[in-house]
Amino acid sequence: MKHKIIIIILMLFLVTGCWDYNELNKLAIVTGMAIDKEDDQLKVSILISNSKKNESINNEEADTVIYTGKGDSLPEALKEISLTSPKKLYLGHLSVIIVSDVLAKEGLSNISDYLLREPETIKSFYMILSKDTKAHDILSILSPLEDFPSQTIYKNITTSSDSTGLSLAVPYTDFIIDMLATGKNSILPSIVANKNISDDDKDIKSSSLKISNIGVFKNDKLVGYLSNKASRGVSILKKSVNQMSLEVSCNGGKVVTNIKSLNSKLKIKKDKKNIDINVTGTAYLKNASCNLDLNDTNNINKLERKIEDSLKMMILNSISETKKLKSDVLGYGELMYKYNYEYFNKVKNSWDDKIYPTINSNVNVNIKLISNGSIDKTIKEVISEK
Amino acid sequence: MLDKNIDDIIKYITNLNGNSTDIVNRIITIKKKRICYIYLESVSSDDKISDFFMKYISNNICNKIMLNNLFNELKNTIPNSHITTCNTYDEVFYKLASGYTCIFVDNETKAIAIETRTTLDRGVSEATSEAIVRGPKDSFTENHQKNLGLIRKRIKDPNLFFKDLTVGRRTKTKVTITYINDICNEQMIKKIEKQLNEIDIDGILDSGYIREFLTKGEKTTFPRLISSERPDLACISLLEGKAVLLVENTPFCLIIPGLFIDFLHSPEDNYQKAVNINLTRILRLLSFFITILLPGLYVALTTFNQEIIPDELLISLAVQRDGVPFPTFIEMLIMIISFEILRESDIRIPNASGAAIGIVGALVLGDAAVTAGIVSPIVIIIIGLTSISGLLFTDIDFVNGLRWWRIIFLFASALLGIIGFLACLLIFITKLCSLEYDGIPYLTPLSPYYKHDDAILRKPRFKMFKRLSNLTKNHNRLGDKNET
Amino acid sequence: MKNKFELFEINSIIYFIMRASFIGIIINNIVDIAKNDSYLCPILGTIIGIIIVILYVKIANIDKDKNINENILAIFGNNVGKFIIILLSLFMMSLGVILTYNIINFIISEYLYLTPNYAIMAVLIVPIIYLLKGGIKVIGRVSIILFFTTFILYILSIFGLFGQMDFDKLLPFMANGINPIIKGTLIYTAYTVLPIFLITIIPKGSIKNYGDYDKKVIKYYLLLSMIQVISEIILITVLGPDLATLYKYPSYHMLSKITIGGFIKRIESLLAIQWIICIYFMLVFINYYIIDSLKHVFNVKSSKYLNYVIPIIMLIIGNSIFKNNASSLTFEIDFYPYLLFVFLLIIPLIIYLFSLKKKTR
Repeated sequence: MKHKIIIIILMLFLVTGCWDYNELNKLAIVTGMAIDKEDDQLKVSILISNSKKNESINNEEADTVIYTGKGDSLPEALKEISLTSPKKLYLGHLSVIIVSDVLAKEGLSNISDYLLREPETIKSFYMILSKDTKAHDILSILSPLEDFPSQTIYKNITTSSDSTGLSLAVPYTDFIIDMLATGKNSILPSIVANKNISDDDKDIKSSSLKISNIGVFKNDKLVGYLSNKASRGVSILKKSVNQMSLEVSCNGGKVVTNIKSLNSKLKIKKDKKNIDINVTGTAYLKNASCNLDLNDTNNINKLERKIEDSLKMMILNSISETKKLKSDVLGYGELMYKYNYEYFNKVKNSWDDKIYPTINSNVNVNIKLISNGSIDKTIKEVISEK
Repeated sequence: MLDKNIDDIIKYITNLNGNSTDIVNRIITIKKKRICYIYLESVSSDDKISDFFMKYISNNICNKIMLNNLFNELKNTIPNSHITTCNTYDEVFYKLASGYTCIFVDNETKAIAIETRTTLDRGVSEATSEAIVRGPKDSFTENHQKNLGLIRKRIKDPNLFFKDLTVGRRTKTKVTITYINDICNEQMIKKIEKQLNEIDIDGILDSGYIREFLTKGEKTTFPRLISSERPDLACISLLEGKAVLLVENTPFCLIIPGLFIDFLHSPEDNYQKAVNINLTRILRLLSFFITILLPGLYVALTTFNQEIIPDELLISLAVQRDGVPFPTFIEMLIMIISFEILRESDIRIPNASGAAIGIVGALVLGDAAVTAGIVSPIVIIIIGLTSISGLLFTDIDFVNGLRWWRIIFLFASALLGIIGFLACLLIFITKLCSLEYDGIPYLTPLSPYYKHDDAILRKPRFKMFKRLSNLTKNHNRLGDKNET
Repeated sequence: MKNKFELFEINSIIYFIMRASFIGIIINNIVDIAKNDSYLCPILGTIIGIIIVILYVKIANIDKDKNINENILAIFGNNVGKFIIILLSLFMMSLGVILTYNIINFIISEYLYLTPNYAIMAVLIVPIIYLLKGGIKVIGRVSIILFFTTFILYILSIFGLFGQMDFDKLLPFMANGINPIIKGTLIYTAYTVLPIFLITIIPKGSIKNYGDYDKKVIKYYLLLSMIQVISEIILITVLGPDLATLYKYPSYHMLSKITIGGFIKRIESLLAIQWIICIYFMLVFINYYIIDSLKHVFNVKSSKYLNYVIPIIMLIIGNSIFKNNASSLTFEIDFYPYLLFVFLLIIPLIIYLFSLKKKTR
């Protein structure tokens, strides 16, 4: 009898309706978000991945739709969007947020709060800056190579950060950790669209998105972009390069190599003025368009020296540019804090502006050329011997 | 007490049975002494009567000693293996219905019963409900003596005791408790006897009736006794220290007590290599969890915590579900009910029309439901996987017991997502842990944790030395040889 | 009755008692106070706790066949003994109320955002009452199975996070002085070690091979403390002290960094079940303690109605006692640990000293 009473009481909850129960087809799955600044308000565009199947397109994929809304803060803008969308917004699978650099220059702290506080959002989405274009336009460029076009940007970032080393994919938690850490500032990759598109042209453009240089922050404001080489240097120092390709000159041509397993270590010296940077890696030969005898150890050594010098230039470039922008993204301040916190606590407030530009870095690169690929000699060498 | 006059006896017995047509009686007169025998034609074999009794009478009809002390002479010298005496009419009729022939002598108040039973069952054949690939293939039958013989010939130990009881007012069915004396727990046997003696019912037709009496205390969907058709499983259990109950007229025996682990085993596990069988055991454990938890988990994940599902799968699921009018758990419920209807009808259908039903079932549960927009395709895969893994177990009561829990988990997940699922899981674990039989917990050796040779994974045969210490005090399989 | 328990069940019960306050109270507050030195707090707390655990073991040894309530009645006589029992059980009720508040808060913040409190309460009551009805036997058996489950989930979480540990985040060493570490140790000891007093409710004589009881309890305690220490270290090295102080439940967000094979990404909802189970079991055990105490005070033989009433009271009070998060925080950190020390350290000391006096008489 008592069991029945308990079961009946529980059944009453079914009758009143479930509060968190959401059917899958009543959710609008948001996979991308773009935030712009327009007339002193935030303009938020969201990309929804599961509209109804569009029969006019041959392949049976889900069509995507973009909604926009305005508001003073992020939840208010989303509230306005929910007035137009027929389904409930679901932010749990948000994978990419594009922020326009105009907004980033004013400071990102007012959108960071909502993104961290809302329990539904996954905290490991990637954040990108959109350089010199509106974030909304970047979101509306689709690519035909993907099953679900909303995954374009996300996959673009992750594959390019793995293979070219130009940019790195920064998950949001890493961005926040760097922003909050003492003695360090955060960085974000950026993306450009290399074709002009008008507002109502939603046709599929092939590869008009391109990953671009790294943007440097100071606290939560964007202070500038790094150059191409410097971006690669920063990627190496942040240990997020899986492989990158590098070209060096040899007599009469160029040699292209693939560098892998890059590992960098920073070490602070006792006199608080010098930092040692040790970089190690392995190189694989990709293309040799010069007359070079690959079986001679001297030649190989010379090649390795050239590669090491090239990498060293990249790293020194990146350090000098961040010094010019007066923002310590590599973590020198953090190292000082960890190993010598009394000194750091004294100079905390003027670290970025005054002390960081005066620190010397000794860069030491060590690369081994491991494999030559499938052929043992260069074609030009063979032809010239004929 | 019987009447002295033979005619009165015959009249009484035929009246008792309402003048049924299968009573046959014959009066033989030997020099003013009359002998009469009665048998029931339906259960006795005529040639045994003529071979043993009539030939004997006709050979010795002139023996003078016999005529003086007819009753005792007959009792001592009839060539038959099994002779008893009956004193009352109840006993007489019980013997008649069991297939015996009763012999009455004039002026005697007792009767002689000789054994002339006919075989009314199929011979020892292959087990129909529990298939096995490698191992002995004989099964119990409806003949009580043959069942006892199948056990006795496998265990030739004199410690194997058989104890007999009669249960049921009108059916008077014979129930035999078999156990190995120095392994089995005396207390348990006494308790079983006491419970059997307390059964007051008009008829026992199958061991299933007795089963409900023996497990009267606790309400649960899980079976606490194993019922099986295989004599090798019965003998394995006897060697572990359990008791086997054999009931007349049914091939299904009861093995007491049945622990949770036993339902994950099959007797075939003992006949193959330990290493290979361990993989099958893991598969069985996995399918146990799948069959109970999967529908509930699916509903909890897709309606409450969608973030666990990978991105592209989620988008496909959302697109598939467009146009389906019911909520997810109603879809699941519809599919579970249709699958159960299909399975039940599959058992009952005669072989002739089996193929057509199979095709209809597949069509109903497959494409048609999806195309008509009633369910989404993923639900069919999930329910199919659930039901198939439910059929993996050997004991039919266990399989049927799992169905309730599947539905309870489904409701709990639909209520509050993963938290509801967790609450139901805690109730499930509590329920399993609170069952016990005579002080032995149901989840031994998992819950009071013992290192047993054969719990989920099995050790090779040459390393299995001990029995389960909760069941019996006699731990060592090898008796006096100390192998610890 | 004799021989109802195995020693391994005591192990599981100690595990759940120690882990119950982990997610809501300890992790959040110790990391706030001691930042990147907070891994020292469990280590120091364990060392201090050995003495306390030895005291509890000695209390359990006073009389092998009686549990703590019967011991109190035997030592102090009826009136004073009943007063002490009521004090202790009221205090345990307050501990249960705090844990209830924590578990409901945790579920609402991370799992079900829109469900009102009473619905979660109603769903949690049913397993608690169901387990209490079985009695202490079933509680022991269930604890073993739940221990295996939570342990497997714990090992999964550790393996998923192993590759992301960065020991540099533990530096700088002792940047804020020793005061925060001492305060953190105080909180850790108060919430983790002191509730082990609850195991004295099981009389020593009802365990199967109780000869090893003393040594094994201390051994289990030390091994299980290692688990706490490892969790704390992993939290700091994976998330870093800044982010850990930002989040309300940092362990939960630490779990979201686990990826298996690149496609299973966000299984933190499933892995966080281990903490909910710990709090659930602790609530059941506290309820059992209170019901047993009330049975001895009012001389009632069967606890049928108490089984229903006490959990419902505890859950209703726990639901509505704290107005908001801030007031609960000040109560739990600044005020309650001292209460814990008074009731669960000083009173057992008094009991032990009186029992020694009684023996020497």
